[in-house]
Amino acid sequence: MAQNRWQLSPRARLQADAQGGALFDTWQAELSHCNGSAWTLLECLRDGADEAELVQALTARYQVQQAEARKDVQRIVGQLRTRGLLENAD
Amino acid sequence: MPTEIHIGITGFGGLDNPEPGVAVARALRAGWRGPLRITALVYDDRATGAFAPGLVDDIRILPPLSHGAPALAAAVHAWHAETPFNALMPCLDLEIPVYSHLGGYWAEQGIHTLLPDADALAAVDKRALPAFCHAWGIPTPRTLHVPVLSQVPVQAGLLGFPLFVKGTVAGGQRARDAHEASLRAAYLHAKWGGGVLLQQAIEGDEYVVAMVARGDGACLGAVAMKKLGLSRRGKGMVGTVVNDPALLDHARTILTRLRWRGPLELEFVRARSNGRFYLIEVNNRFPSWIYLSAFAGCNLPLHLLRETLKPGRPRAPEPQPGVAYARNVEEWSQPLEPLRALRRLGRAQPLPAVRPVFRRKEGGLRVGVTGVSTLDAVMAGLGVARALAESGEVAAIYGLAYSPYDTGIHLDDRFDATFLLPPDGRPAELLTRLLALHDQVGLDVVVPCLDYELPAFIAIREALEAAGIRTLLPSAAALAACQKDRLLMSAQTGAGSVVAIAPAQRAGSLEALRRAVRKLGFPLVLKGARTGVHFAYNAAEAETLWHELHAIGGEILAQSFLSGEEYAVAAVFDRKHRLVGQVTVKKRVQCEQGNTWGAVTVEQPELVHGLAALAQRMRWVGPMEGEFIRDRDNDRYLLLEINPRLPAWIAFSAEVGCNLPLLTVRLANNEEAQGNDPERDRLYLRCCVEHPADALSLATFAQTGEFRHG
Repeated sequence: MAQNRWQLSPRARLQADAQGGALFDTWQAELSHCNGSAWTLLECLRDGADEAELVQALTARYQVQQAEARKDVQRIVGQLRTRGLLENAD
Repeated sequence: MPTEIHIGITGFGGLDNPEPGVAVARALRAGWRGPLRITALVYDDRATGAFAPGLVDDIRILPPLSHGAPALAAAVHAWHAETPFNALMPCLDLEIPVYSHLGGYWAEQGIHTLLPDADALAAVDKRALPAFCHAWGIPTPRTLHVPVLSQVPVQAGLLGFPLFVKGTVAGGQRARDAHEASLRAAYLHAKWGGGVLLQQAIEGDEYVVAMVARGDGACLGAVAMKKLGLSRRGKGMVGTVVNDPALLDHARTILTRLRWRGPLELEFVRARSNGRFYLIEVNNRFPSWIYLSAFAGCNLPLHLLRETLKPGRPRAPEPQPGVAYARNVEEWSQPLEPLRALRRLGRAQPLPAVRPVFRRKEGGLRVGVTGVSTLDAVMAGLGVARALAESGEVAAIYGLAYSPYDTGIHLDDRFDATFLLPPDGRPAELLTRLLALHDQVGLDVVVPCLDYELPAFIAIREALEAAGIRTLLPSAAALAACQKDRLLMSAQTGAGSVVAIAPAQRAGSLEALRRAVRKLGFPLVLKGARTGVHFAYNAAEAETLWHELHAIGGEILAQSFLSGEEYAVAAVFDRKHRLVGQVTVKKRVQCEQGNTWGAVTVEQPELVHGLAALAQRMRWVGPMEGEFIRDRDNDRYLLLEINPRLPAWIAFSAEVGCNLPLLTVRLANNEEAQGNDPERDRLYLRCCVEHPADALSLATFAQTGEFRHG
């Protein structure tokens, strides 16, 4: 079964820094700072990714179990979708 | 050679609540290609923005609006005969109808304007706006016009609380109950007339949209902004461009319905309950944050001027979201003469642009400075940093901020970097943070500039010294002795105060306030521990103010209102409590909060000796400011209060040859130091200025606690 691919909405702007990076919603001016693992996910989502790819990105970079990584991915994706910052990638 | 364009702009006053003309002029200077002559049209010499060096070419005094259109037309006609105007750009609400009315007459003389007609203006009048919104199905909060103040409590009760009480022209304050609503209404009606408007409060985020409409009503350009850092009075001191399509489409639709010409600002609240944008107000001119449009690549004043001079210009580009502004102050010193000329002759020339030279000295001291914001009031750290930068005697200046929205962090000419301090001010956390910064960047001296943090700094002074961070601070006992309540006690008991002190009483409870009212009468001055000066003109106002100050916390004092000229003495005392430098000023321009926006250096030995004697008695070490008033009735000087740090105008001390921040740093470093006599008769002025910022960087600053430029 094909997984959903998501991509960051054009209304999201990113800026990296030493501790991860900042996420700015250009419609509502909401500012968030993201730690390293969240930033890893955002960078993947900038180009488009599905859940498996996001989990893979986390487990490759951090010492984290797949199940834990999947939970983190689902949480972050859920938050971004609620805020309108994620759209389905073609 | 392109022809010089001459434009007259109004709105250079406002002080801490700046009128838009300064920002409009800045945007035009930034964007216009070719020679541009700007005349600032002002109503009095309190329009400090007109004197900002290099901003305008000429200043003219306008006849009061109450003298009507003929007087205005005659004045402009006379100036036009001397130096022809190409365009006029009024920036104050009350002016727009008059300028619009004269638009056709001026056009015949070659003076162009682009302003709404009378019908459009009538539609956005605050009393008429609800009907306009209803006619076009535009969501707007329920709003009632109450022309008779005695009806305010009843009408407010029908709307429900909390609500906003708004003036018929400008201003608005939140009211929690009928009593507050009545007080707010009395104040606003006294200021603007016509009763007040009561408006339902909708919970949500505020957005504003500045726009320009062409002569045919089409949208020439739009910039939407969300406020990020707000003052206690709800003013946007930090804001960023947003580009929500729903907001912008909604704004353009409203513009079309209005059949507007020229600039305007739409104010919205996005309801948390349903996500809809509710139109709460329309302003018939540019807003004071409009310089942001130039930072964001969509310079609306520039596009307005181009369209005014030659209609049919291309649409303005879309502004860049995330570009932000932070409102700080521009301050300078100048001779008195231009101010006198404006009063005597009705015209003056401001100084040409002067780019201050800020230098660093290799091997010099590295200084940390707190109080680096203008969010609620201009803090002294901004002026301290400027004076140190001008001296060229320090190696580095670090801003020490308490909030990512502290506006001074964006001043890259003044601060080498800014660091976040723990917000709650507890000594242990403060010490930990400062020691970490010392390890990171090597702090040699710290200059605290905020009253409320001094006890914490005094508590950790020895630990800082042991680590190599020096300060110049009073003892805890000396600090306690200069607190407002202790000073007034010494006046009350006649306990040998060395300077006369304005009578005051503690108002720690409502009963104490009522006793103070019976003794001191009205107007009454109320002072909170963490707030400025507040004036009450009747018992109800006094009680409402008292409740507000009580909610903020700290001691509340009630003081007699005294009429007279005000003075301030900024001084620094060494570790033997000796005066080593002082600058005395007579206050020329003060905002409603009592803060100094214009002052002149004077010699008043009586004040200096009195303050020095008081400092000796208190065994004071470090900087302080004494504020005095010369009682109009008997010419006697009275001490109003002592501020246990340098004042916000302190950068002026460097300009008049007695750099008190530098003296403070040298004494902290245990060097010998003595100040020179300051230059007399120099005028200090300041006005607001917006600096470009980046919204994303604010998030990083909040997270990392470090803000570096470039």
